Amino acid sequence: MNVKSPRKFRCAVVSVVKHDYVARGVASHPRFELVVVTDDADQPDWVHERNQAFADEFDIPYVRNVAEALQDHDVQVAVVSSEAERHCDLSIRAAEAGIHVVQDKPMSTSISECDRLVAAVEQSGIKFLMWNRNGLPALQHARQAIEAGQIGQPYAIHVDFYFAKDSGPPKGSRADGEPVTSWLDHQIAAHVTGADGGVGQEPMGELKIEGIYPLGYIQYLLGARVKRVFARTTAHFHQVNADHDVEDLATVTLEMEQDILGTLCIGRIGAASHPDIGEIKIHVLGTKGALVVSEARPEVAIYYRGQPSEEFRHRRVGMDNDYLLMENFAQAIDHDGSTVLDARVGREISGTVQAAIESGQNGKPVDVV
Amino acid sequence: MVRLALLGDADRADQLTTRMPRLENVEVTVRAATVDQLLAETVTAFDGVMVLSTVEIGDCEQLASAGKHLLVPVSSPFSTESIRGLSEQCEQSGVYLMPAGTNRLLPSMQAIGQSLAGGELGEPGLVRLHRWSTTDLPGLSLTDDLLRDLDLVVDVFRALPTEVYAVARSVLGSADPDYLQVHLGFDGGGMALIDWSSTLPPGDGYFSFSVIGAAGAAYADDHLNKQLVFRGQHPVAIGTGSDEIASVADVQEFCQAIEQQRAARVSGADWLAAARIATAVRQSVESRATVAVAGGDDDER
Repeated sequence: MNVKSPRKFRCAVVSVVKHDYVARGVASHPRFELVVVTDDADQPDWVHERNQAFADEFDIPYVRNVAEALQDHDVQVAVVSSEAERHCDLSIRAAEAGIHVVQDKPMSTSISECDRLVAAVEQSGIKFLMWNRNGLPALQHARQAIEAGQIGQPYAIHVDFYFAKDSGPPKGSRADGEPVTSWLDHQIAAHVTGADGGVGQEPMGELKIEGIYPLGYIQYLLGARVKRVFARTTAHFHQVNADHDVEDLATVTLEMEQDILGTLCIGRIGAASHPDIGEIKIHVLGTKGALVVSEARPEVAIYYRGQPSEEFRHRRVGMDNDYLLMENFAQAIDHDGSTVLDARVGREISGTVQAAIESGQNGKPVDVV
Repeated sequence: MVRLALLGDADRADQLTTRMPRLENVEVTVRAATVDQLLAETVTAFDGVMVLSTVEIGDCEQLASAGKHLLVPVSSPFSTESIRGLSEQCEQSGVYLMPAGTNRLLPSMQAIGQSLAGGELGEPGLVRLHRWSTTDLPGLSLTDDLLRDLDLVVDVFRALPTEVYAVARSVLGSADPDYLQVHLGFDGGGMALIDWSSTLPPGDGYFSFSVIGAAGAAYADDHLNKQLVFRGQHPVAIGTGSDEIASVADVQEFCQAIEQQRAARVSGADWLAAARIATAVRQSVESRATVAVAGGDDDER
């Protein structure tokens, strides 16, 4: 263990207005302790209300001054889960204060912000972890199989990442003359169901909101960068996506390093389209075999009289993702190692997403920058 | 009663004949090795021909001119222009042309087709298809599967794609690609992703087909249809295939179409559509660019 590395890390929750699963995931590891919630004082009331509620639940103070909170509470780790467009700015401020960062997805809504974050992280020497799902049992087993050479040299990978969630009324349901709901208002309202992954001022499609997960899988399993993409994107399901011209369904052809090919299907396909959270699968082809992996497994099926329709019938079990991510983060700090999804990889994935969006708009293959 | 002639491969004819009793209003009246034999000796003894071997396009045109309905393997090595010409010939002769072995009549595909036709899934948005075959199946090539699977996609969207982007690799060092993936775009935002591989080790292949619609989704996946066999170490997953039913279903549909004097559910026009897309796929692989298909001459962009 690094002599400077404490046995227990004191963590500041730097805005917790979207999902609180990141902060809860951090707190699930015995070496990480939430000690303060903080945000900028000039944020709107709904932001302060959510931050305050989280602080109250954990019985820790809420400080409306980020710099003051980081300094006064002897913090070593910042956990950032604000609106998407504030992610990088908050993370950079923490990095510049010498504080390690765990950040929610997406990395940012803008590539220039991602670049600014990478520079800040590398200049400060802090550890940075983009929250991800690479610690799921299915991913762990798939990587072990690949590393053991069970399918030979991988040459193609395909990921289906469908969330069977609704996002407000279906496409075509808004009457002529009826006003368009603002993106932010829609996302704030969706917090109740946890379908507010795109919370922020700027409308975002599924590629930006969720793309880090499946593209993170590809990076984790094969370690290859995407060089070129061709994509199709559309708003197929939800009125709010159609109104704001952002996709809820996308397909991407991926051309990668090492001559690896791949594809990604991603969508927020509606609650009726799957009995559980959605069909999430990974297919890997190698020179000596192939893997077909259901990301949800292991799971247990539970059915009972009077079961609420919105309750998942299949419940994931053996979920160790939170612990494994934070253990990886602790090890990276202790031994000056890299995290499972660091700032540079996060930036590469953001570049792939941006290229896919551009390809979806212009109908041509686009090089990833 | 529809009188059917079986042309070509005697072994396949034997296999098919054993399954005929399950079909209604179909009788195999003639078996012949060549078209000349068929037309010279027994031309009045059958209404339609099921082709079981590779034939020349001219043979098919000759049978159509003789007023015989045609059930021809979709994997026949015909060019797009040949298929177009044969379709026109059949139309002029007042006979039906149906490609055989298209996969549309697989039980799983029929179930999805019925769900789509009944509006349960809403407007289709995405088709995702994986088909992986093994290195030990002689004669099975990506080209054979290409038309079958492109036809499945066209059947879902009921339209030709507007654009095609395809990439291919020769993974195991063969001269021809043994891995191909195709990305299709349709008017209205629809899309499809298909990948074919012929690099699996000897044994079973893998097939997965899903349709994501505006109101629902359908998943037909070999992964979900496996049984486990335990005999030490890791269990073995055994497929529960129903492919053989499809070949009988082909004959049933062909003969019912003749009897009911209607076009078959898979027509020469469908065959031509799949062939046009396949041509665009090859062009895209070569050019590394998107290729337009629908609405006229194929065009690289």
